[in-house]
Amino acid sequence: MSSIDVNRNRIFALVDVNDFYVSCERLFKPDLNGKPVVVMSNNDGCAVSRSEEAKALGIRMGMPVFQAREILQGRELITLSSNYTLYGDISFRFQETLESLCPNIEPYSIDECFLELTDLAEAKKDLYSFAQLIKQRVERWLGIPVCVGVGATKTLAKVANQLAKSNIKHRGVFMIPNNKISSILSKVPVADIWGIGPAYQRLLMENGIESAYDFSQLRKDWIRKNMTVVGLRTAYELCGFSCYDLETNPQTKKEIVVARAFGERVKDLESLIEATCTYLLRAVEKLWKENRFAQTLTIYIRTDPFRKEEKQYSQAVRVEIPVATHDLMELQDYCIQALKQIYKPNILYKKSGVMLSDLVKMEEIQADIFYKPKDSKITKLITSINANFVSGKVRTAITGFGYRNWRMRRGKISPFYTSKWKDVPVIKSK
Amino acid sequence: MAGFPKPSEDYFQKRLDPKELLEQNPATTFYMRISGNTWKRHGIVDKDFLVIDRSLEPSHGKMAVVTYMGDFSIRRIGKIQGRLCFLELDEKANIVPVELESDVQIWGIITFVIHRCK
Repeated sequence: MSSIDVNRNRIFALVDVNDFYVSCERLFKPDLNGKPVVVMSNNDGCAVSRSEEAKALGIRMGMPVFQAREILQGRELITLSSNYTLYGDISFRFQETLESLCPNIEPYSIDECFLELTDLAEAKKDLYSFAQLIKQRVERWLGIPVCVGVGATKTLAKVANQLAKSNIKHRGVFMIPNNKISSILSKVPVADIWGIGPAYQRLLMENGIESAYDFSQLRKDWIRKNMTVVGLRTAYELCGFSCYDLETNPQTKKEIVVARAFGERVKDLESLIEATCTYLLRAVEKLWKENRFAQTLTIYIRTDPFRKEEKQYSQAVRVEIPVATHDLMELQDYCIQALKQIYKPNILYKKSGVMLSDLVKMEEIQADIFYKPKDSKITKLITSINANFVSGKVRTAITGFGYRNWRMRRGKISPFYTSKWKDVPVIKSK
Repeated sequence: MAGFPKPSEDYFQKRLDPKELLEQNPATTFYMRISGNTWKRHGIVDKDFLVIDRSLEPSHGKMAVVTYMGDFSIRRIGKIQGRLCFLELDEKANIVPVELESDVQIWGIITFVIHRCK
């Protein structure tokens, strides 16, 4: 157990919203209840959130929308563009609602939160009722359905949440009591364990390990040797020994990526530069928000892999910046030079992306004695204005004006119900 | 001067912020708008904004936004002998209880009506 710090007798819950994006849409469009609904990815390409009715009709996660329509053969399917402004707002409300019941929460993703209930008097009194209260409160206060899983560790809470979701009998709340861990885990496939990726899954299957219980009973030195300390922690967690605390301070980013598919494919260098510099601005805004400087800039472009009949091309280029920077003008120069290097004419491009990596803090910047830091007043001004208004409101002229074919397609976006006065839902007289 | 607080600091107060009045529970407060004059006798007219708090329990006499057949509507909630019902005004302006239809859901309780004076 050398490097692992374990804790017994703790209680965690994982609360997760069912079909989050669809549920957010339904809150303001009650006529969508009971109907097959999908929310589409950027550019209205694929299904990224599906209502139960849509799942029942055979629409899979990530399925291209045109394929979904083929499957339905004319039966009604409601498709919506993703409205991340709305989902972000509901996500914050979701976190606040959970905080009204429990002070220790960790937002894990846009639609999932871990709660630590260990020292909560009300939870200790009757844990199962408290888990139900969480579910009822979110559903009443925000009108979005959730599942709640409870267990002695974060990994067990995650398992419990999956069981709450997959088995109707549990009615959205499932608890793994410490004396039933083995019997419950023996029915959970190893692939469903939080943190076990496809590679480890293959390794375990090859060694005859099929259930989460089998995995938890493996010899610890074998796990350590074959699956590193991370695998070992997972095994302890499955045995009820907590190795992971709530992470209440969000981790600083290791890299910032902004990559998007274009609304229509583009051929000319000018459009590629416009689009990519627009993504760069977004990335630099995030860089300032994180208070970091970038040492490396990577630019990539590619064609549409689904158009097999067309000439395919994809290329990335990495720029090592002499001294870490957060200056938009400097990064933009590198970005344009990089694009000129990898651009090939007579090709239809579908996507480009920007990655800022090797992010460092101000005091970590390595400069040589001849280095004179660039004055980033302009970038500071741009990012601070944009942070207070709308991202991308102030930008450089190189990012283009007016209609641009690379701009994202969002044909069926719902109104901004919670962020624009003119978009709030209207109650009509009858 | 550093370290020595101005005596007047204790008396600073922020300006009034209407959000504090309108949003008792910001996480559960939503806004909607009215189109038409059906609810005029309840003091709600065309183009008014409604402030709705979903965290409040429906109690006797409260106005609520409800969903019915996929649409939003407004009803006055009644609680008579422990049971929820709707209260409608009859022609003589008496309040009469109406059975709560099963396909009506209470969406949220109306806490304020924002009316622009003409």
